[in-house]
Amino acid sequence: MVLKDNPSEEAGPQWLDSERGTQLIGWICLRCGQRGVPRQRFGCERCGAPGNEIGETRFEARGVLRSFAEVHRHAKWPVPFVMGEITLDDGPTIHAFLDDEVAWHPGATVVGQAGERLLHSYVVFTSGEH
Amino acid sequence: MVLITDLRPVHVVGIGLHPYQYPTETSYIELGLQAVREAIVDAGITWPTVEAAFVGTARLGMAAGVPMLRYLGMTGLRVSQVENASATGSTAFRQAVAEVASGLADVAIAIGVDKPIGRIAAPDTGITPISPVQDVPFARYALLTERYLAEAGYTKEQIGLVAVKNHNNGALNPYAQRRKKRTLEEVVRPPYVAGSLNSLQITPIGEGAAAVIVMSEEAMERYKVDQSRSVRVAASSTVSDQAFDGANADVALTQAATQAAYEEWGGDPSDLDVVEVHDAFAIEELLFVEAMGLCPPGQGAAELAKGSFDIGGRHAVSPSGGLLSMGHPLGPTGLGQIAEITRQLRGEAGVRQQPDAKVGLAHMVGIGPVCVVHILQR
Repeated sequence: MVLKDNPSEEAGPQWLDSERGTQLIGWICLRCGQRGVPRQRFGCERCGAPGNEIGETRFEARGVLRSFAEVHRHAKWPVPFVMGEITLDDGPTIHAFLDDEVAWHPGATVVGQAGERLLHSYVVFTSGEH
Repeated sequence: MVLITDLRPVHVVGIGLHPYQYPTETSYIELGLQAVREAIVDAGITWPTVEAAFVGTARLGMAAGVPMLRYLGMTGLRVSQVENASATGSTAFRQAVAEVASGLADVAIAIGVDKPIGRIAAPDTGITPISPVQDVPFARYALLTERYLAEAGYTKEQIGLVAVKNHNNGALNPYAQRRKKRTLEEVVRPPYVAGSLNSLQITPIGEGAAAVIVMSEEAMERYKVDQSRSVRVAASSTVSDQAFDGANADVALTQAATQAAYEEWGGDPSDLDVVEVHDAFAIEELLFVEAMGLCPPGQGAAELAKGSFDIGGRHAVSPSGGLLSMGHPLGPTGLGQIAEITRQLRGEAGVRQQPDAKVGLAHMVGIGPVCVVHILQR
């Protein structure tokens, strides 16, 4: 799907729930195939193709935790909250909120689902290990 | 491509600073004027000699230059404002150097002045983020720190030694925002801001000013500038993001920018005596000294512990105290690095003096990311 011209129109949730679980909505360059998250329609970061050649793609909200950190100080937001650096199974590395009830370790398998953090909806990753 | 040093030679002839400090009610004009006046006196010239000014500020907003510089006498000089995030001062310096190298001016000044009052445009893209971690720089760097603890096998104490060294250097610098020696225990213990980051491993954002005057050799003759105190600009390089697929962009940029600078200079990193590094977070110094080739990959912590990066060591890294101790008022920071290296290469750094320093490198990265590197040579 090729998105509309005005980038602000569709600045909304960056994920959706499907029968396969939560998926992150990303972008794909229809010219060179480069993909990334979060979705955007400004242009391709690799080949420079314009927004009308940027389509939408999806990434499984599943990956490996590279590192995590509990944040203890913030001017506006309630603390603590836990953030993680995650390499998605589909490629990109992202920063995202983690479930603060889990005793995390680097290398953990993580899966994302919709959750509330800092008074907004975000994808929150929890343990994918059973 | 033409390099700045392919053009005519440019020398740093004057440096000045207003000490970096926690935010006060002091006007930015007062901060900036103190640095500029100090630089003019240091160069031994008069203000009307300066033909072009590049005013670096990241947070003041529009039109900071002329309302400040008019109090030096309205000479009609060319004034431009420069912004490049944390690399603002470094970029203002490059612009001033290019102005003189190209022959557009014989004498130019780069000024960094800032107070943390304005907004930051980078997060305001219209793209909804997966998480707002970009708004929490210390969370981003806590994740980076934790990743290196896990993957490179560093210990918290090894990273903490960066902060100990730089706080100890900054304690000796009258322009530094934090001027207190710290022990390893003080920089690694709780409370943590995020992850295992103690606030002493994070730069304080404050206010201040720095100014650097550059000149052509013809002008140095004409204005009878003391050539024994001048320092030549041997390389100037700057690059922006070109990393993909989860590579650490700041490290990739540092490698690219320093490599370009080494080629322009024609020297080798082992010959660098003084290096001022963008150490907004302690982990960065270890990553960047490795990326710059000051030691083999993975050896940064061991070399630091051996004293290789101390004043008096193989390379004095951030003898000013770095961003961790001298501070990071944004606009001035990169110019404060140039001032420190100039002082070191002149042999005027007093108790912070790296013995027989001949070559120095200044390195800043900024949101973008961007990276700016300069090499100065006696």
